[in-house]
Amino acid sequence: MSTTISRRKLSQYAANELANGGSISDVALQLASYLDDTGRKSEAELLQRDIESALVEHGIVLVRTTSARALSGEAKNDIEVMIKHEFPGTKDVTIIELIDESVIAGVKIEVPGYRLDATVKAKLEKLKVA
Amino acid sequence: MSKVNVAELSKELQAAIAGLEQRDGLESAGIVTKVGDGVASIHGLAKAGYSEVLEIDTSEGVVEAFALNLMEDEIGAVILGNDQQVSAGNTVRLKGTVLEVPVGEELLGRVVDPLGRPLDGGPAIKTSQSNPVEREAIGVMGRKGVHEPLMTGIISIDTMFPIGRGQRELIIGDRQTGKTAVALDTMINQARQKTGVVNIYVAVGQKLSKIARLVERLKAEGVMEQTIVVATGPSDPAPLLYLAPYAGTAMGEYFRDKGGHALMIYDDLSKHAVAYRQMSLLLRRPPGREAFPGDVFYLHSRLLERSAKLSEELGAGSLTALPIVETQANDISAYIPTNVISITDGQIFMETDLFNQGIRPAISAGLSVSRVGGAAQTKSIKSVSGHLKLGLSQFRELAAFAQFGSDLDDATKAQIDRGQRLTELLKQAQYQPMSIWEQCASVHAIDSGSFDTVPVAKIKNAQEALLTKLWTDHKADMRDLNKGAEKVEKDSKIAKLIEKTAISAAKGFED
Repeated sequence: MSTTISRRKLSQYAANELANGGSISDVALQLASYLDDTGRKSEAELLQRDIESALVEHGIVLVRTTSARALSGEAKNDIEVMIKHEFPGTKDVTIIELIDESVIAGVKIEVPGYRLDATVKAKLEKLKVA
Repeated sequence: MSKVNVAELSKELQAAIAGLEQRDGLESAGIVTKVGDGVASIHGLAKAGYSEVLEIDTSEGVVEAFALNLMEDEIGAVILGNDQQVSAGNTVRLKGTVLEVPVGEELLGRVVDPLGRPLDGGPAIKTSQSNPVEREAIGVMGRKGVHEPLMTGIISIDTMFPIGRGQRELIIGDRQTGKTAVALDTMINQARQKTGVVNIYVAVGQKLSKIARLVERLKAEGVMEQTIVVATGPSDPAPLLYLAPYAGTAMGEYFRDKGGHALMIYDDLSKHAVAYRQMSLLLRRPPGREAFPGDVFYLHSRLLERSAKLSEELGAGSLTALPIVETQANDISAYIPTNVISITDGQIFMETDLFNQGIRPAISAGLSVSRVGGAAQTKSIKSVSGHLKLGLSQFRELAAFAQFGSDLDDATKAQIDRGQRLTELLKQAQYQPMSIWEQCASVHAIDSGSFDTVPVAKIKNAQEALLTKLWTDHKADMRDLNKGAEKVEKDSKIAKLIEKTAISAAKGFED
């Protein structure tokens, strides 16, 4: 009978494995088996977020950006500098870009556990609420 | 065209980064994973503190919540606004503060919700200060013994169960026994006697019609100018009911901390415990006795511990608490009543039987007690009320035998006779609090036997005649007596004056 392990512990295990050069597919298979065995498949997405957070402690930062148009190389560079400033010890910054015209202009930056919404859409919504 | 856009984007990004630096970096953010019944589960926000305010970005604006369950994988938060606006996937941010409410004189005369927002249709409340809703109670060295009276104007309380400033005195009883009436009269008395005590009435899940009536009465009596009403109704979300007493206390502490005196009325803590039970069960905290969570004692002890008499160094202000607890079928051994009884410095027990017999206020002399108020009683009241409580308790015990009538010995008959007169005298109409001199004169008239010739049914008439005569003919003496420093002792000048006037007043009501 399997015992319940918290997502935090699972994510720390996975982050350790990945940071030490473990195979992504092996780790994913282990986690999937465990989640299936304990009836926690619905937590897969949250676990993925937790792993992203845990990887930050190993200097691996996954950044998601949302903007109306593709980011320029300069903008990406600025983001990388900012991330390295915010998270000292960062070795690897991976930027995943999402294009969403509804944000109008500006950019939303999401790092595990943090975010910066500098889109025009967000500003307009703030004005609407105010 | 696209070059221009990219340049714009880069500019925006630079501005955003500049803004980010001003705000000391990225904002902590989490997401709502589950929401329902006013409770949300939040993923992320690992740095959230207990009771910290969270801002949930919804399509209809920001909804505030506060963190109550800090667990390994998620946060359990209670939503302060409309939970219908919140949905799974909404972003949640840390506000960086614990919950605060506006405090200050600007709130006097207003009806507000637990977040300090006006409910009376009046203008927005602008205060220069706000205090945290949850605050640690003053320590031992910051306190002083209770020694100043807080007169309720209710003769049976002021004489038998005196309340001092800084005391916590529970008002307990079944529904419809006059608990709120006692609290209301106490508030009215503060205005009538010009004590300068600020009243803060906290309605926890009370019917809005009842709150409206109470506010109207306070306005009619001229008490509202020194009163703040923190109102929550039965349809408000449980978190607001939970917050109401703490928010009211924060408002009261403002007056206490600047050397003033405030009176807190929590109406009632039974509903408060029920609201907390609802929140706790929804947060999946383990239920205990009567399904209340394990920390329900702490819920009330930390609230009532904030009521205190401060030391001279801290300004000698005071916060007096009159929590109300509703019992079921007079059962004071239920969970919440026993908890609050053990926390407070005494209780005033309202009895249904007495209420139904027409004895109002229906205060039980046997089950009520004031543990610290004796030190705060004025000399005048103390001098007339020494053996009142014992006499009345004995009378109510003996009254059961009175129905056998003729078989009683003379001493018992005399005791019953005096008890009946005393009981009649202690009846007091609502909204008519009595001043010190009125209480002293009334009790002494019975105690000295001056009203022994007056039939029980006419005692109230004789009392009224006595008070009118004393005020008309001996105003200066009564004003002196009202200061509370003069003892009404046997053969003293004031005692003789009261006896003489009482005998003369009684003549008009003899059989």
